[in-house]
Amino acid sequence: MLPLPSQIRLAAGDYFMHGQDRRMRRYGLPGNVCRVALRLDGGLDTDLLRERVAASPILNWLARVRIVRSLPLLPPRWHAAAGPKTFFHEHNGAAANGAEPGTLPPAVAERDLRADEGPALALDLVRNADGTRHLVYSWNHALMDARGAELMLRHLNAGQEVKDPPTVENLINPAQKVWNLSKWWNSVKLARGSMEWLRKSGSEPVFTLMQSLRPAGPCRGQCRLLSFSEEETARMDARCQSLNAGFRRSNFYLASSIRALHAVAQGRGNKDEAYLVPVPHDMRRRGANGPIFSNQLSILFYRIEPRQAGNLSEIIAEVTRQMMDQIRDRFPEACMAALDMFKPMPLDYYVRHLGQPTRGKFASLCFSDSGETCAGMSQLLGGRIQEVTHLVPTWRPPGLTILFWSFKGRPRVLLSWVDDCLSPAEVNILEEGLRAALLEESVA
Amino acid sequence: MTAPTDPKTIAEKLCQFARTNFLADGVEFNEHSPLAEVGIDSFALMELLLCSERTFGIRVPESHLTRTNLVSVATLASCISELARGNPSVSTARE
Repeated sequence: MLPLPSQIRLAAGDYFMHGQDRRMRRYGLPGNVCRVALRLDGGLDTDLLRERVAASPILNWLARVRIVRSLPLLPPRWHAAAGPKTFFHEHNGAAANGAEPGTLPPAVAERDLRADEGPALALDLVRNADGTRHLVYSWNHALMDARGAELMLRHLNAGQEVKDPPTVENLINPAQKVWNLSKWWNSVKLARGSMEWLRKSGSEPVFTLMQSLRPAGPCRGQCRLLSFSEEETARMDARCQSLNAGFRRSNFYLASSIRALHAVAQGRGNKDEAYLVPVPHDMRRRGANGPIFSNQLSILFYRIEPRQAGNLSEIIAEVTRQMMDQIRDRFPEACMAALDMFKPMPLDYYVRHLGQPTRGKFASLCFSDSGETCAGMSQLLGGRIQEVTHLVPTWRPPGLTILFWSFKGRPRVLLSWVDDCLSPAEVNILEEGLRAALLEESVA
Repeated sequence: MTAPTDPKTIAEKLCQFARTNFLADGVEFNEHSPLAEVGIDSFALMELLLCSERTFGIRVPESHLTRTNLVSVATLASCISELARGNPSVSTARE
């Protein structure tokens, strides 16, 4: 087995996520902590789960790492602390306090995890009153991305269904272990392009849901989960095909989200401000079992003008065109090179600096499609998986996140927003608009 | 640049590009592998289309990104080959 390092570089995306964490806490929001909750039937072998968790070198290393900066203006690093901290917790369900069966206890749903203090991850097992179990994996987004979390679950579930599980060899991206000066200089040159693009895009009108850049007081994150029946899923598939987006399902979801946001924006009288949407893109090789650790992401930015935003076909075509242009111009690499170059900046300055091109607006909406979660897994350590739910925090800016994922081919959506950015009536408009865009019969 | 019209040659180049640029080592992949099953998403698809542009000088229009043309590298290569021949009968979204 490979020895795991005691120190390692941060990926560019790690420091970006750490910056978002700082920004959120400043406005009274919980940190940049993501969760994935698996609802399992009573067959889960709890003893086996405890054994796997205790014996996992991956989980134990991840629970020890935290972000440290040894000297000002030196890039921060992940440092593995000597002693592991407790990260596996067991709870009995919330029935006792009158909550709905299956509701996550506040200790789990609101668990705070800090990347600079550690542990930056937690695993909670909740025994619900109805005999089902919730296994909730929570992590600070600086530590890993959603694909890393998915690989983590596959690592835990090694066995019959997961025949080739990720191992410790898949934990770390080898490129993160070394620092190459010539590559760094090339990155500096590459980074200029992305900054110029952002500055130009940000100088043109961008729609934002925020009434003011700084909230008047502490704000609260809220969320709503959308599910779809089998019949609705079939309609969505047919609609996706009719829009010629079968292979570009993410683009269909993105177009639907933009059209729904446009309905809210029109209610606010928006005529000229474009919708700027950053979309994370997984940089791992397809079919790879890793890396698990760090944010292996890049970002594509889409800018959709209001005149295009009412028509799904037009949005999909425009997104495809912009995607091609950005890949052709190596924008994703340039964007990450820029973020990598800014890592030595103190965190507060870094956060301010990244907001400059868009004058603090950052984006109109955050969008992500995690794709199929727990693909090919019907059970986890003996417990049949009934439901998979992703819970992600909303960044402010922009104040709204729309996340898609699917389990056993059935899509689900998380609408997550900050309460000073959208009124309850606007959230209803957003949900209705999104459902209509995904499901309606006529192609528009 | 003269575009090859043999689908086999095009498919070989596209498979080689996919292996070099975005497929993990050890992933079983050939021209008949279903694209979706090896994890090729919209981003990887765009990279394949850009490879076609750079290598063969053939731009695949949006209307040709149909389910029929995107089953595997072999079907995509057939589409590119038809476009290279200037054949309008290739599968489009307007069918």
